[in-house]
Amino acid sequence: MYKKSFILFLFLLLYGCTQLLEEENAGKNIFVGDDGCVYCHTNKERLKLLAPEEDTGGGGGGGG
Amino acid sequence: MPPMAPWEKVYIKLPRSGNLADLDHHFEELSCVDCHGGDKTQNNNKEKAHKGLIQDPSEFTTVDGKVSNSCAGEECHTSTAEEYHNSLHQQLWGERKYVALRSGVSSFDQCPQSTRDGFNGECTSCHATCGDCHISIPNSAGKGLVNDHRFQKTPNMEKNCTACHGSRVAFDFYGEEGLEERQGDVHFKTLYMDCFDCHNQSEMHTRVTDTDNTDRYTYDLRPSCFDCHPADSIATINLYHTMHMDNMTCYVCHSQKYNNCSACHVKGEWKTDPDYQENNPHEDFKIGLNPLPAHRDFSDVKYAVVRHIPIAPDTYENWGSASANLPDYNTIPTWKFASPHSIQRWTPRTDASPCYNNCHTKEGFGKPENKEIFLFRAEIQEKWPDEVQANDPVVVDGNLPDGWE
Repeated sequence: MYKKSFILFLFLLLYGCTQLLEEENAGKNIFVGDDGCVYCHTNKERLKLLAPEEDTGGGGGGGG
Repeated sequence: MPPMAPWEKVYIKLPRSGNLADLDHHFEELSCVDCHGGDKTQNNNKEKAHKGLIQDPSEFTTVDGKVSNSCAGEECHTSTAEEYHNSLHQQLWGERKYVALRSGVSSFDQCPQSTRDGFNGECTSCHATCGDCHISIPNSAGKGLVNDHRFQKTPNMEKNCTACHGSRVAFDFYGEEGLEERQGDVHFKTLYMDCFDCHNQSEMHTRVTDTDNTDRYTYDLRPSCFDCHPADSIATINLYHTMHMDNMTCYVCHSQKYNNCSACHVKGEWKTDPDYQENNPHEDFKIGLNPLPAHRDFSDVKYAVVRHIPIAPDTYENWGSASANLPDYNTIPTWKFASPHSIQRWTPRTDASPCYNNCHTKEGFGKPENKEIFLFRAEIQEKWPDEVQANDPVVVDGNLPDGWE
């Protein structure tokens, strides 16, 4: 029982750490180079700021 | 499918390495601007960065008389793109064929210029670039990257296929909670099959040669029920098959109710015409005379399931005066051959005791109320009076056994 709990604890700890790392990287341009496309399109916060709400894409799916 | 937020549609989550090339091997040699254009040095100016942007590089364009797209670059997918550009899925040859026939000509190229322009501007606008299947949700279904910007060899059934084929195939195939006759298709619900188990790469990609005479049912690469259920092995497997297999399509017994359409396909006033909207879409199941004697599998079959399609005599009126009239409208049924993706072994037709109770209409050898599953002229006269003559070859009047009508 203790062994299983410990393994579960380790798993949750590992998962938590990866989440923290991802959150830390989310605001950065971690792509090495001068590619502005990647700079924006891999940055969630920046896209939320720049993508206009009215740009809903196209119509809905319909056909056969 | 829930709609994506605008930012979500274009967001790429990098792999842990932070290297785009680890996301997909295409990025080992190609940068974004190689396909999409724009200016990659403009980190802080959205307008400048997007100047000259090609939103969907896989859309086919004609340059110097040659049709191409970014996928067909040298040493890339040149032959596949060339094949696909002439495929049924890309060019809608079947739809072109019926536009031509109703226009009174034998080939789409002979249709009035306004009809060709209208068709190419509206009907083909959603069918379908390489990216619509392999990278993003199709343009016509709202756009958005399916799996970051990975180039997926196999499309995503929900986000690609049924994003477009929604109102008919998706509802039939997936089923709808709470509706007795919409239990979904046994191939999906029980056998966990997806679109690609039947509709393979060849069917999607291969060029059509006889473009004036090919549609989805005459196409030689289309899937067939008999691919998995050989006719010889099931012909005498039960009384239903022994009595009816030579005379009916499989769908007559094994499909559930399905959506029928009367509106929506063409922009303009007709789209919102209340007379047509009143019955659109409507769930129904109708057996008519087989309208497709050229069908690859069911050429000798008398009865088929038929589906109402959205075409009226003035459907293309808003494309121009030359398109306003369809001279041969009355020669092509508006109830067409249907292959609903809602197959079940036990349906309201087969799950009956005695076996004829839910189909046959003769009193004592069935029930007169079963007439509602057959397509009679009177129903068309009542609901779509302009379409009576067009459907003469499909209605069952005068073609049922004695005492059934």
